[in-house]
Amino acid sequence: MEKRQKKILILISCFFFVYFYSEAFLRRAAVSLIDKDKMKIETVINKLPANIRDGVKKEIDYASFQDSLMNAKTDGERVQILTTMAISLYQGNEQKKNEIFSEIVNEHPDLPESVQAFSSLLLNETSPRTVTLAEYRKFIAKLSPQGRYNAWSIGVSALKARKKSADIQFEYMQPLLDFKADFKDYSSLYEYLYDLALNLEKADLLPVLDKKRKECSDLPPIEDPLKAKDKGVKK
Amino acid sequence: MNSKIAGVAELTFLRVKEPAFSLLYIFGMVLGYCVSGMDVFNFQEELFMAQIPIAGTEQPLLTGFLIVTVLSVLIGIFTGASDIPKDIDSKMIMLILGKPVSRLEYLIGKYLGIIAICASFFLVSSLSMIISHIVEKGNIYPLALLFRQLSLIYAIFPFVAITVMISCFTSEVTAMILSVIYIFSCFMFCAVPILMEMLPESLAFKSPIMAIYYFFPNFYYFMIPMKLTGVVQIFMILYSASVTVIFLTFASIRFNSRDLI
Repeated sequence: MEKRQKKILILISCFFFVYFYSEAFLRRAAVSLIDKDKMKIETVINKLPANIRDGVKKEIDYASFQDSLMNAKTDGERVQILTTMAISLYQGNEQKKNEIFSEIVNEHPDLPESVQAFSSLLLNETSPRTVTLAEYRKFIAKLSPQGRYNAWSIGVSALKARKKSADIQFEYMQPLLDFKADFKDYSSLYEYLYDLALNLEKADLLPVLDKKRKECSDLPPIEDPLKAKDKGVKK
Repeated sequence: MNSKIAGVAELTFLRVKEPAFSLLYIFGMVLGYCVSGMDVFNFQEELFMAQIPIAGTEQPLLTGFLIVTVLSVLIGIFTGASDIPKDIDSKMIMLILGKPVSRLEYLIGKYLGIIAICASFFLVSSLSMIISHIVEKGNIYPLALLFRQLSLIYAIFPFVAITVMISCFTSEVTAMILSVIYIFSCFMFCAVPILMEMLPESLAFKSPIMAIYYFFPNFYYFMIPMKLTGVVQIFMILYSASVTVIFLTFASIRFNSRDLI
């Protein structure tokens, strides 16, 4: 390389460095002045032409979830983010949604945050990975008393949404017959189980279920975690 | 300064003796008088850019000075785009380069001459605005506010360099058209870095857009709030200088390898 060319190369490299450095500084200065509460990216996206708006919005949402996943500190947080991502981002894409839920179920079967994934795959025939009743029960057993009630309720709602027969729903809820309820809220589950038993003509179980339901009315309700927190602060 | 560069610059600046330029200066003075009463610059509410702060509340930008800056840039585009191609067409360049003047000296001289034309228009119009303000309001602009307005001149340097660079590659009319398109693109891209800051890090198209953005000097940076002796001021000068040198270097590379006949 000629001497002159070398000089030009060095000069241009130096000025490129100054350009990038000063640009980065001025960018920081400009960005620091923005009122982030006032200035929202949604305002800009809404002004885009309709044919590209949805695509851009989806890309941004996806990247936001990726950012949150990268910043997640615990597996629980990660599962929560993946669940929200599957529900909100892949609303009409069952295949993708099931893929994410399968990943959660396979990798984090012990985390209470996986409840949504477990319920979504519970006897879900559209998914290659299905959660069986036995698997779901095993998962419930690992949860806290509050989480357990939540999992039972979500599970029954999922089966109802999937229009599973009364037989299957009854089979799913059968362990509740031998279960000692912790909260008043279980009465609604026993009420539903009572109706199922009635439909399936299991007359011998009706008095047992009625008794169980009545027992629940004497129990304390599940406390709203936020209210419980407030109480703690007041104390 | 090198006397040869100064000579070429002077030769270029002497174009202001043409009647058209005299008219331009008169226009600048009248314009200065007309816009001196204009208020603080503000974007329209419905624009996205309206939400980006301009110049701050302490030393806001005055609309009049901004208009004068834009006009100075436009003069820079038309003079910068036409000067070198005109010299090549009229063989004037052979006359200059026939003397012991190198191509680089000629190029820098041309650049400085065009800058002198733009800066003189900017200063004449600004002076007219200042005098009109004194006559009408009976007081002078506060020094810090005045300095903030005059610092808009930093924006002229890179834009003239861009035009000179384009004129080294193409003919007169093409250079003008390309310069206008390029500088218009610079204005369009000025919100990109701020938008990108608001987008998530993992966004796939963020890096390519930022890579494209770096090809367009950001005019908005010359409008951000700054103090008279602040660090932003220093970086603004560095930014303006680095962009100018980069474009002039490309211009020089092209000009040195170009057939001038």
